[in-house]
Formats: sequence, C-alpha cells, structure tokens
Amino acid sequence: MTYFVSTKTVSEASRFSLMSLQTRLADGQKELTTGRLIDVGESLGYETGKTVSLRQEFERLTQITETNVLVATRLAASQAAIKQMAGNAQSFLDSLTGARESASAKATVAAAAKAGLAALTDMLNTTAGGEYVFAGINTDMKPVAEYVASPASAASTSVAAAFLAEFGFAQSDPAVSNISSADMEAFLGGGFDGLFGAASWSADWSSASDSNIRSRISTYELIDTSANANEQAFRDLAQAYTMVADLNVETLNQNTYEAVLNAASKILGKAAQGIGDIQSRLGIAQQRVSNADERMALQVNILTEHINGLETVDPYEASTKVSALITQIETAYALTARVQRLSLLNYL
Amino acid sequence: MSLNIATGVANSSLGANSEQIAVLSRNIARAGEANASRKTVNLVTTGDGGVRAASITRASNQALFVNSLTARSAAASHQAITSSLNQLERTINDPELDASPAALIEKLGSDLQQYATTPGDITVAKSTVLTAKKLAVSLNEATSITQAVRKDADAGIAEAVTRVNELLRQFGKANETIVKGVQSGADVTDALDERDSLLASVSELIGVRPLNRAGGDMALYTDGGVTLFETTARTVQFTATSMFTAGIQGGSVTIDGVPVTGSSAAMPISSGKIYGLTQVRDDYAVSYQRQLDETARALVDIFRETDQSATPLLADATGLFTYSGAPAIPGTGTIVNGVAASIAVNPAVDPDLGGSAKLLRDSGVNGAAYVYNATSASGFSDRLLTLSDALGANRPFDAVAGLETSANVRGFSASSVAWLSEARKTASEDMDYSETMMQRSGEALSSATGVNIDQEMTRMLEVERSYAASAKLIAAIDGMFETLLAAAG
Repeated sequence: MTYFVSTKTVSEASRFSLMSLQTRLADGQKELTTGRLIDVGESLGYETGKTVSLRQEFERLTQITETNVLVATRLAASQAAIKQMAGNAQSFLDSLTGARESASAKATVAAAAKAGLAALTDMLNTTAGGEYVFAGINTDMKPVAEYVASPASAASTSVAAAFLAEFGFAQSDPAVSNISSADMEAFLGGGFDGLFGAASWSADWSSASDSNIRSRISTYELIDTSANANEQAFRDLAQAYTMVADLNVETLNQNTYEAVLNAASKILGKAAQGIGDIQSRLGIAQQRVSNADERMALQVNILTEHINGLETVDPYEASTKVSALITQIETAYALTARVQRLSLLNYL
Repeated sequence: MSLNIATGVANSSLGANSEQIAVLSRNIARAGEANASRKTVNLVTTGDGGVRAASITRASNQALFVNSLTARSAAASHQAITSSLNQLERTINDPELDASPAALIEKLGSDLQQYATTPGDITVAKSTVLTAKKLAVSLNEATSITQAVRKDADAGIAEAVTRVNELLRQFGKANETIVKGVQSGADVTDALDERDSLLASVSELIGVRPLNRAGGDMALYTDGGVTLFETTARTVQFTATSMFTAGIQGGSVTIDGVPVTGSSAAMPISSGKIYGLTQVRDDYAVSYQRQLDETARALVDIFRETDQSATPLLADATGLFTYSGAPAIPGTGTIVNGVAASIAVNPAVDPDLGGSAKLLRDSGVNGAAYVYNATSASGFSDRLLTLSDALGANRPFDAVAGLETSANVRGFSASSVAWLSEARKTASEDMDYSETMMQRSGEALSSATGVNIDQEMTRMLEVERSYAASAKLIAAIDGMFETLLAAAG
C-alpha cells in the first residue's frame, strides 16, 4: 500500500513547525537576557498567586525594617539624653555632699542646680527626626518649657505662689533666713511636693502626653518605643533641682539649708533608681527592635530566594534551550530548501 | 470489424485523454488551495469498444472532514478565550511591576506602617493617601478593562452571528447547485469543494455537525443538536448590548428563536468562536469582576468609621474609601455589584481636592462624633495601627466570586491574581493543543483528499503516452487506408 501525501501538506508542515520554532526562539532569547520568565502569569498559573503573596510579604517586611530604623533612632536619642540626665544628676548629688559644710558653697550649689534644671529641660526637649522624643504621642509639642523665662514660666509662678502661701512672704524676702528647718521640711514634703504630682506637673510643667508611642516592629510585635516627660523619675529630677535652685538657699540659715540639701539628695537617690528603670525598659525595646530586624532580614532573604525560584529561569537551561532551537531552525531551513527543490519537474 | 471502427476507438481515446489532461490541469492549478480536493476521471467503455469520460469524482473522506471541523471549532473557541484573558491580564501585568490591585493593597499597608511610625509627618500622610488613590484608580481601571472585554466579546458575537447568516446563505446556494447537478448528472465536484469550504468557515464560528442526505443534499446541526440548515438556512439571531457594567447580563444567541447560549439554552453550543466569546462575556469576565467588586467592598469596609461618642448612636460610615452607596457600609460577606467601578478616596481626605490627609490618622470624615484622635495628638497612631492590622485580618467574602470565603484582603486579591493566571495558563494550553489538533486533522484531510503534484505529473506522462499511442494508431490506420487506396487505384 502506498501512502498518499498532498503537496500542500508537505509545504504547510514545515511552515507551521518553523513558525512555532521561531516564536519559541524569540521567547527563549528574551528569557535569556532578562533572566525572568517571559510571561510569569501564564507560565506559573495558580502559582502566580504565590509570587504575589510572597512579594506582598517581602514589601511588608522591608517596610517594617525601614520604619524600625526610625524607631531605633528615637530609642537611641532617648537613651543618650537619659544617660546624660543620669550623669548630671550624679554630679549634682556629689556637689551637694561637698557643699554641706561650707557657707560659701551655697551660691555655687544654687548655680549648679539652676544649670542642672536648664540641662534637664533641654534633654527632655530632645528631638529626633523632627519629633520630640519625650513628648509621648504629642510629638509636635515641646514637652517642657524653660523654668527661668520672661514672662515667668507657669512652673516658677506656681512655686512662688506655693512659697507665699506657706510662709507669707516671697523667696526673695530677707525673712527667709528665719524659716526653721522643721517648717521647711513641712513645706518640701507638703505644698512643694504637691507641685510635682502628676496633675500639677501636666498643668504647669509638661505638654507631653502620658501615652507613649507604640510601634509595630515586626509583623506581630507592637511595643512602646518611647519614654515621656511625665514619668515619675523626670518629675523627681525636676523637683530636686528646683528646690535647690529657686528657694533662695543662699539666704537660708544653715539648718534649713541642710534640710533642703537632705531632701534634694533623698529625691535624687529615688530618681536615679527610676531613671535606671526607664533605661532598662528602653534598652529592652532596643533589643527587641534589633532582634526583630535580624529575624526579618533572614525572612527577606528566604522570600527573595523563593520569588526568584518561581519567577526566574535557570540561565544555563535557557541558554541550552536557545542553542537547541537555533540548531532546529537551521535544520528546518535546510530541509525546507531541499523539499522545495524536490520536484518531479526537475527530472522530466 | 472495420478500420472505421478502429479510427472511432482511437478518436474516443483522444477525447478521453483530453478530458483527463483537463482534470489534471485543474488539480495542479488548485494544488495550493486549502479545501481543494483531488479529482479523477472515471472512464467507461462504450458499446463500440471505445472509451469515454463518464464522470468526475473527487477524493473525499467524511470522517476526516468531520474531525477537522470539530478541531477547527475547538481551536476557534480557545483562541477567543485566550485572547480575551490576555486582555484581562493587563489589570495585573508582570508581578515585578507591582501594578496590580493586590500589589497596591500591600503598598497601602506599607504606607500605613510608615505613617503609624511617624504619625506627625504630613508628607507621609499625603503619600499614603496618594497610594490609596492609586489603589482606587487601579480597581476602577480593572473594572473598565473587564467590562470592555465583555463589550468586545459581545460585539464579536454580533459580528460572528452576521457572518454565520451570510455563510449559511452561501451554503444554501452551493447546496442547491449540488442537488440540481446531481439530478442532472453534471460535474458538481467544484461546488462540493466550495460547500466544504463554507462549512469549514461556519465551523470556526459555531460548532457544527454535517449530515449527508440523499441526492447530494446536506443538513447542518449545531454541536448542541439545533438545526442550522435543512433545505433552507435557519436564522441565527443576536441582539448586542450597548453598555456593560458589573451585574448586567448580555443577550443570548438564538437559532429560529431557540436560545443556544446562556443559562436558558436547553441545547447549548459547545465550541466555535461564538461559544468562546460567550464564555468570556458570561463566565470569566463576570467572575473576575466579582472578585474586583469583593476586593473593593472589603476595602470600603476596612476603612469604615465608627461613632466614638461615649454612647454611640450613629451608624458606621465610610471612611478613607467611599463608593456610590456611601456613607452606608455595604453588607458583610455579600457581593455588591459595581463597588470596584465607583470606589474612590473620600474628597475630605484627598489633599488634591482640598481635603486633609491627616483625617486618615484622626478620622472624622463623617463629623465630630467619628473623631478617634480626640486630643489631636500628632503622635496618635492607634487608628493607623488598627487599620494596618485590619488589612491582614480575615473577613468573609461572597462565594459567587469563586475564591475563598474567608480571607484577608491581601490574600483575597492575591488569589484573584492566581485565579486569572491559572485560567490563562489553562486556556493557553488548551489553545496550543487544539491548534495542533486542527493542524494535524487538516494535514490528515489534505493528505487523504488533496493533490500531489508529483502524482499528477506522473499521471500526465501516462496520459501523454496514451495520447501519443492513440495518435500513432490513427496515423497507422491512415497508412493502412493509403495502402488500400493505392492498391485499389
């Protein structure tokens, strides 16, 4: 039996196969140069959803890593300021101990207290990236105003008013030398102490919010990443500095003067402990941020690998494919030319 | 037997030979035509011993022909589906470009994270709102692309229906010529070729089953069994829909008033371009639109605002994203057609339209009762963190979208991408397969019924020889007469 084949079939067959070979060659070349699949959606099918999800995850982690830089900066700025506050408080405490006996040291101590108060105000007003780090969520408001200012600050006005109410005369009055140590202790533990309670502090001293800034530092971790100027330790520091700076200690008699220094030392000791707590709290937050960053860096690497695994082509495979296609096409060309020459007409 | 009779026989051979040469030339001339079939001359011996070309037959193979029709219909429907799905793919693009709604939802999530870290930064607020706008626009655009695909498909069906009617009319003519020709014994092979070629064209548009009947007549039925042609052409009708939006259904194709597409069709067609386009218009594009609408609905829902008063009295209202039904929140887990078309960023939040981007942090688009940040603290991040979390929280989706019924909006939009890509992959593989099938069945048919020039050439040599021999015979008889006349003279 002879197998019949029409002339059209012979020529069409090579045309069709050449066309499909050329399309594949064009795709192969593009894959080879870009290193990625020619049409990710069509090649991967339902798995495209996976690469889209992976890319979403990738974007999310990268973004959190980026915002963690901001968080870390804020924490570092807070820590630096707090460290300085603690150092200042320590040296002030030292100077109090030395100044106890000498009457001439009174003025020096008062000056040191004023400087310490100014420095504390300055530290509490630390900014990072245009935000006040100790302002809680009121990041655009300067948390603490200057104590010595003109017109008089709300804080110094309240202190003066409390003093007048307690003793019947102002701090600048020469009569302050007559205040007994017992009376002074009563004032410091009563009316004056009340000025540094949470409510009065917020009214006179601070514009900060009690709510700390909360930040998402990894996909599932949401933590407090700031301390605010309303914390007890900061109030204590301000209290200690103010009592030495603004009660006219130069004019007080020796007993009363010592009573003020004793009270200040006691509060400073308490403040130092509180500062330590805040430092360790922020330290833990810093630690968690850096742990989260490390973890996310690992995840990002894995995600990148997965995405590449899905979307990219093996360059060796692509290159082999292209050379194989070229050989095939060349063969097909040669074959077509021969088939076209093959006609009975040439032999008649 | 006389020499005269011998001359007559030789003469009849010359006539038959010319007839054969004529048919051979016709074969060779049409060798390049796709639907041309090989013709052969049937010779019969006449009563006086001569030959005569009794009829011309053409090579045909009904089984292979029907096969090739089926393959054509399948390829045409897959081509229509693939090219429409490729248009829908524009709504996603390469995942690397991050242009799909899924990628933009993620970008919005990232921006919210950034904004939650620096809630006082108005630049970040504005860029977050800008991303939200891009997302809304991408959903609007995806909707218009999807509806344009449906409209194109609808217009394509209308065009195909007009063409089918025209082809059926021509088919009727060819069929009539054949029936008459068969009755009168004329050569109808070319008309048969033409009828086959018309049938092939019809099969690209609508799946068709031919039925040969007595006297060369042919009846046509759709692959669903509805009569398309029987003695006369049946009317195929379709009314195009002028505008498509989500939820609008297109018309169905009817043959003699019987619907053959759509849910009301009792005997629906199942291949051909019309079938493929109907699938796109009523199935693929509709599902994809539902997925877009569900994504948009989830976004409107996520960014809703709740009354913050001590004793809340007011109903929840739309926040960052608004839509045609605002300020009411669309119902939970139930599709609302057209949300993706109308979703937009609330003008009160859009800085380009005079709104304040900070409202994203503080809320209160709908009035003071909805303000979350009561003290206007610039570092207030609770609302932003809640929103960012809500993007990752599972919520119910309507099952008609054909995806998960409980997922977060990120996952849902990624699934939508997966769904479309998978549909494209399958359609493209089906198309490759059916095109190869069409190619192969076409080759098989062409091999069985087509023309091989070499064979025709060989036949020509034969005929040539036969002609020469007959001519020689006549010359010999002539010589014999000459001898006879000379002897007689």
